[in-house]
Amino acid sequence: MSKGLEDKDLVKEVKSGSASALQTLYMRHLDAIYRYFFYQTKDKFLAEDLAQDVFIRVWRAIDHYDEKKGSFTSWMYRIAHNLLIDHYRGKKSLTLKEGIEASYTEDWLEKLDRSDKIQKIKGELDNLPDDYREVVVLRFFEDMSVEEVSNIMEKSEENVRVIQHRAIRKLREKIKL
Amino acid sequence: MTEEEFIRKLKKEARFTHSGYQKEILWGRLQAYIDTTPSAGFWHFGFRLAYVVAVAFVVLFASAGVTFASQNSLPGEPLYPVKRWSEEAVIFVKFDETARNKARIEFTTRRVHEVNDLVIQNPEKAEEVLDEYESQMEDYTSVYMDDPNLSEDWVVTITLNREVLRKAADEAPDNIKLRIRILIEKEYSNLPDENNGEDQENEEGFTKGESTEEDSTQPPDTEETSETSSPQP
Repeated sequence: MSKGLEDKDLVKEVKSGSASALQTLYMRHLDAIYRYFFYQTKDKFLAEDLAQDVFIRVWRAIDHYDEKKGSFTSWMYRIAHNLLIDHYRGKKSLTLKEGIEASYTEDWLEKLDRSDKIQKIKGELDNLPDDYREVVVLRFFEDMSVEEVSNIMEKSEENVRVIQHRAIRKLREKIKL
Repeated sequence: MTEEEFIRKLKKEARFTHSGYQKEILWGRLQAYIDTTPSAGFWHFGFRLAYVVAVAFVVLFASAGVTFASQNSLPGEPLYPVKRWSEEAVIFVKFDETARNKARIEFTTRRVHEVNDLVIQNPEKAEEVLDEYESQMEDYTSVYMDDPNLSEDWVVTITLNREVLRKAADEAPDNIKLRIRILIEKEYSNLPDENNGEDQENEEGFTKGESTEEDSTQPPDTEETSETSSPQP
């Protein structure tokens, strides 16, 4: 019933404790958040755990979200960005126990592993500096604006433009599409 | 291939999605956690609600507590205005004038007890209360006596009040003692003869214009003034 609602309306429901509204947000944004982590970590299972953790933090901290300060998507990616930074720094910040159960079906894992193009892109992204990789994922894979990316990564818009330009140049040298 | 074309193809190739079934499995794992952990919003909402309810209860109980505590206060004390306000509130919420007057009659007893409590510790305030009591006598006695539903209450109350006032007069400084006695006699004069007669029969040694045994122990000037101000011949 809440599937037709916009994010801001769903957020209001989550704020009043609606788990079903969170489920709708989860179904809507899981793919993007998972891809964000998938391309920036070396482990697809870790990506799943981090993606799950984003939604747990959304659930816990939803009352701190202020729509006047930006879209829900930007706020959610900001959470994801902070989790990723913690991960890079070696902090164990996961709420759900890793590997507590196998959540992915074998078919889906095989499909992911056997996709040469995905593996190729992931392999080349792994060779980029962390901030280059993140700009590529947010700007091009997830269609975010330079302004949104600069807010999420806390970099100037000019800096984001420079990074995206260099990242694309490097990827074009390595990936033949 | 231009940069734009490269980006468009890169995006297309990099995209993948979960199946609906896959998402359901993942959600199930997350839901197990969420079901046992209310959202921050829930806590904040719950906290706010609990806070408002708690404050309302505190205000309610504090108000009730202050009002209750004020009931024994005396003029000049901080809570006395609360006591008077609560009396006004009681009168205000009555449905008809007879009920309001019954409450007013009831509260006259409080005034005479206040006089009794104040005559020694704060005679000036005692006089202020006496002024108010006297004023009420003048304003309402005929009203009370003309209402068959009130006259009996009023006579009984006046009689009881008189006992308290007599006690107050015993302890009061001379000027207030005199004042009280004049007031008591004034009350008599305002009551019907029948009641006066009953009082005269029931209360030996105290008749209109005459001194009681206690009066005879008072200084001569008090007796003298009392007699001269008596409405009796």
